[in-house]
Amino acid sequence: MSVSLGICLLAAAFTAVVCKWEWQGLPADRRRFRIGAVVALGAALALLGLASLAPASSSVAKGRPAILVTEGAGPIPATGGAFFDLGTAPSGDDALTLVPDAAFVRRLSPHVSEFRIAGSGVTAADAVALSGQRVRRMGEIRPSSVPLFETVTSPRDVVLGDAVKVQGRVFGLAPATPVTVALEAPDGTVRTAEVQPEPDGRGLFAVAGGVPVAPGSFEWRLRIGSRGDAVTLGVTVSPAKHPRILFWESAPSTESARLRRWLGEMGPAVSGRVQVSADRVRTTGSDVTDGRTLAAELLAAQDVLVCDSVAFAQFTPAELTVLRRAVRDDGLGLLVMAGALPLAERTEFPLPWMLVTDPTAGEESTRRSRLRLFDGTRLEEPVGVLSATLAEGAFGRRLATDTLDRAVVTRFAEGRGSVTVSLVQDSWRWLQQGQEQAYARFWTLLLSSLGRPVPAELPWRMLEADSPSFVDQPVRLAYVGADDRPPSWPVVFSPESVKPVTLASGGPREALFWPRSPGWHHLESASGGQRQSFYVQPAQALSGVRGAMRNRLTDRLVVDSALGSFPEAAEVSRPDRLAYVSWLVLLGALAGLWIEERWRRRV
Amino acid sequence: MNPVKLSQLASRWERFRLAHDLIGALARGLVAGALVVGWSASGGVAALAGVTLIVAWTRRRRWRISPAAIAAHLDRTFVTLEESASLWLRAPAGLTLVEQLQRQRLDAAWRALVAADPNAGSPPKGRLRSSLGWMVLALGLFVAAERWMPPAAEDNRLASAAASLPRGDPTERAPTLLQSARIEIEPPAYMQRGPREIAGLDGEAEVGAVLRWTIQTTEDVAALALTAGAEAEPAIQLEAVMPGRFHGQLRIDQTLIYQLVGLRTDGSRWTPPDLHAVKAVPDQVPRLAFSSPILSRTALDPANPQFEIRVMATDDFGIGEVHLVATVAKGSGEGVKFRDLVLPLSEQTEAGVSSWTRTLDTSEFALEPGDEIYFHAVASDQRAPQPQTARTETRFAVMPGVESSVTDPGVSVARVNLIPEYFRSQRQLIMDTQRLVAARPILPPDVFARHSDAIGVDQKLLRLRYGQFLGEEFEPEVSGAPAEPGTVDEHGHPTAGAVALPGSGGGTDTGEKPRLRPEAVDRLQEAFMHNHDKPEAATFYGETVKASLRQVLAAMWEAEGFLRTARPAEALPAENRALELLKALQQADRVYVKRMGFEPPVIRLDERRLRGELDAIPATAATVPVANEGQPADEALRSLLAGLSRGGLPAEADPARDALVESRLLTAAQADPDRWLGAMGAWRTPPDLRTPEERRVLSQALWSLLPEPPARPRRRGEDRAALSAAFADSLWQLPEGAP
Repeated sequence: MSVSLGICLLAAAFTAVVCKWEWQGLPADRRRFRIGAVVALGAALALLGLASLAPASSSVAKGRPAILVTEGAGPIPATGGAFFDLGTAPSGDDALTLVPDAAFVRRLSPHVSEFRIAGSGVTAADAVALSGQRVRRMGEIRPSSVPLFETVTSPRDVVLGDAVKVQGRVFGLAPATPVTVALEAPDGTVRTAEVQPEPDGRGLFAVAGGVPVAPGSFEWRLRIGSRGDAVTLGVTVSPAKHPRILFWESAPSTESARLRRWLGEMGPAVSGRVQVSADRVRTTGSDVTDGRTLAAELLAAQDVLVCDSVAFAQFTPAELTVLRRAVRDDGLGLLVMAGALPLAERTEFPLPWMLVTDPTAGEESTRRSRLRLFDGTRLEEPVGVLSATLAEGAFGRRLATDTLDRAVVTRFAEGRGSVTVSLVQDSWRWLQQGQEQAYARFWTLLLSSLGRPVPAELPWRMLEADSPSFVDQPVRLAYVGADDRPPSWPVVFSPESVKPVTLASGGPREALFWPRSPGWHHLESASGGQRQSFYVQPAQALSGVRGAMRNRLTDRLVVDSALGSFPEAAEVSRPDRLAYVSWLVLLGALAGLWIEERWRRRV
Repeated sequence: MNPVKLSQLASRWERFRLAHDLIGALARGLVAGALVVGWSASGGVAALAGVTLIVAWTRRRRWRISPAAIAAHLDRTFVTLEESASLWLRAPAGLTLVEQLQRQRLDAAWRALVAADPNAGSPPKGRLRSSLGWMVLALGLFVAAERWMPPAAEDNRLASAAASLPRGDPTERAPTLLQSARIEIEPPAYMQRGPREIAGLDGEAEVGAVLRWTIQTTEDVAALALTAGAEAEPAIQLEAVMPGRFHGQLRIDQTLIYQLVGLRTDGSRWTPPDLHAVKAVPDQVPRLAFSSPILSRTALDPANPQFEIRVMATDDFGIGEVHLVATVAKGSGEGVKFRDLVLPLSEQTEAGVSSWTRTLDTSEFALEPGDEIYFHAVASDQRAPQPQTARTETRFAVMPGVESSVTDPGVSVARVNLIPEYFRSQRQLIMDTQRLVAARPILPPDVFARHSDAIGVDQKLLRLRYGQFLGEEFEPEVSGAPAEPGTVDEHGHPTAGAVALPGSGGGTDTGEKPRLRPEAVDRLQEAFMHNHDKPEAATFYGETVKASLRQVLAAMWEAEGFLRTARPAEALPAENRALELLKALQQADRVYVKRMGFEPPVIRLDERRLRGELDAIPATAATVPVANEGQPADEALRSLLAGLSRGGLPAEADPARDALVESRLLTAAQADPDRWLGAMGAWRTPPDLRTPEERRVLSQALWSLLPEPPARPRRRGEDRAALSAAFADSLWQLPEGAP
């Protein structure tokens, strides 16, 4: 820049001096032409000077690769080829030609078919430009001297009442030097987690962000240490929807009665059917009109079915078929409260567990145990648990265990739904002992995990939803509706524009969106009404995460290119128009001055 | 006239020009400064200097005047010189004859001019005077501008308050009317603190203090009041002692949050939006604790009747009085007599720490073995009119018996035990152990060990007491559950209680493994028979209760071991475990006995029971959700927070909701003004005028005020595609026989 300015000033000074001479030494009738010619001469000299500063021809010689230097590039071995800086490498290296993107290099030298990438890798846009080309890695990636986030996984959407948890990995850690990751909630509360370095300089972290207290879109801020740059994580909190619960019991019990009462107070819709004698049943709730048959229509209106083992044994084969279909195909959750009697094998709906009587139990059918829930919560007050061992096989997920790590509540996936068995017999004693929190926590966890999930309002699912989105990097959405093709494309409201933007098509059932500004974006259906929000990070945020994403993308490019063939194109060179014009102007000005002088002498 | 005189005249003209131009430049600078000084004093001075320098710089060329220029000027000014004044610049020897003649005429003309006017050719002094006059006028303008509109005050608080004024009301965008404010705080007399003064309108004051405001405003303000809200009734109407000066006072009993509301002389209302708070700091109750005796129950030494009681008491504004309330219990059984005493304590100060002591002379009370003194200390502070009191826990001093000692539990049944059956409960043992652990740093090691041993003895007494429920004294193994008789351990050795075969040599003494006798028939039958003739089984309790009791005794045994070896900290887990097991036993075991003498009516089962009809049954269960007192306010806060969240639609105006939010914020601000006053101010700013920072502060405050959602079942989000659901549906629709 300074050299260019100096050239311009020199040319201007030369022009001014010559103009002054011409002005002083010439009559008025000759001044206009000659001064004009002198000015043109000076301009031509300036342009020639500027043209000389332009870099040497950026085109790549035939047969040589184009080397793209990206962020994090370490020492690059000297090799033939043209070096291009994609804007992410440290500036100041005169050997690099700064280019805006890989597509520019391809336009500059269309004959080049081999590209070598030094550094962490290329962005998604550059990857598109390099697709179909021979791509290789070159050199080593310079290790980071400061701890950076390599991956950050945070939920984009949570339901009111669910805790926000952020996990990820940090790299660039010094040996035996742990760092602290801090997560600041919207109320200013900061929670921290320590990251222990592993031998490769990486470390995992998981930090809780608290429980949101209201629905809406809120921002958490994540940083390494107390003074590091904070990263904003946007989370949308949706209102909670209560499950619809149906009780189907073979006999009245205190446990189910208290549970129904508690659920009624908490809000979920509860229906029930209790057999009070051999020929009499009692029904509660508006959903149950006939308490004698388990109908498909009844199950379709419920999210959870709670029954005891005797009631399950009493189901007819037709009812079991209906029940199994509701669980497997409709996502119904089934909870079986195990009793002392073992369940007989039912071919219509085989249950994936076995109860083995505990030989040390003796006369007692229950034992008192302290429970540990799957989210790590320990319930201090013991509760009565069936004295039996639950043999659940390898596919069960334990929701609660006792202090000896024996399964007490286990959930098994069954198609879209799940079947859960519980050995807890008298959790109602928690309420009696004033342990309402333990009771609420246990049943909330249990019923929330097995209930039928809420179907999404918008039939579009964001791919890689748990990873951050960045400016100028595509956000990919997949259509998950039942139609073969999306009936309409959603629109996005961005911070920088009032009008929404229709998404571009990335495939038959895929849409693409390239955010141009950071902040909250809102995805809406074309007809309006259904909305989904997501947060886009600034282009320079989370450099470690972006580097890791580029790394993965580049590795994929390299793998893909290893499978293809790449014919070479003819070399193409581009003329420098600026220099031509400058020479023309210079020669024209000199010629004009000479002609005018000759004509004057003749006159 | 000659060249020298011309040069002198030129110098005079130069001086005149310089003075004239400088005065003119200064006048222009003063005018420019007067235009700026009203807003900024430094800006005014800068404008003055800048304009002066610029004008002077542009006129600098006029300050060089040559004699030739003077000659030309004289030619222009005086016609009689006949345009020949330039002849004076030349030497007479170089003049021609005609020029010499002209010079003579020139000199004559000049002499005539000088005779008529001695200042001919000199600079006119009148012009300088007029320039001076203009400068003086400009100076007066500058001074008037500086006096008329003074710059902002030095008080940073008022400057910030004034800068933040004009948001809510467009009329507030005018310059601030508040000039200064201070509050004089006069604490209550009993606090013995003199009055103090704070600048500004925020601060802290003691409960019961009198606040006196002195507020200085511009004379525009005719009336001023302090009010809880812009539209609320004034809490304090200030008195105008002179135009722009207001006084008022108030005695505060709780945190005061207020804002200024004024009335201008033109009748318009002045309501700066800033909120202010004076936090009321309450007088704390006295804090006191026993420093001697340490244990809750102390044995008196019969040989030493002096028993020292020492109490440490502190208060933020001084202790008024400390006394001891003691009860002497003499006698035993139903003949116990009680005598209440109130004994004063004397204050002692050591190393700046005050304590209250009294040495009881137990001989005054004529205590006999078994008699007790229960006492606690009561302290009151100096608050007026009603002092606050606090008391300690009750301590016991017991005169030990002569025949039996507390540290000698091995008393035979035949001897009379004069010690009443007074057992410290397990919970009391735990508390004493914790207190002893806490007092370890200040106790000598031998005293510490003695106290620990005493607690261990009590633990043993309690253990023996509970052991009676098992029918006999039970001495379990060192740790863990006791071994059942007739069993072997994991290494095959017989446990204590196993019967060795005859001729085996007695077990480990001879180094031979004893052979076990096979189980006898009666031993095998024990598990299935009721043994009424054995004392061990002659209890009401089932095997599970006995097992639990054994665990209790084992825990007590373990705790006793640690206590007797002066390791009370290690005994605490075992003591807690024993307490837990005892509580579980108490709650798990119930004995029901049929009530005699009550014959219930015959129930006609066919007609009444198990019919499933609920009509005649009163609804005792709660069929509606339990009302939550804070729920409407929580919902109001949530809806507002959802509207404030990023990307959220602004909440519609709702006066009822706003009232709930205002109430919650006000309550929080009164409890902690430093934390919540900013949020209160942000809340009161109209929504469309809130800055992003105010929105953030308000969102944070609302978030902090909201409780966590209660744990209640909720449905998860969909994590599978509807496409797979459609695929599953289509499978069932396939015709039979299709693959």
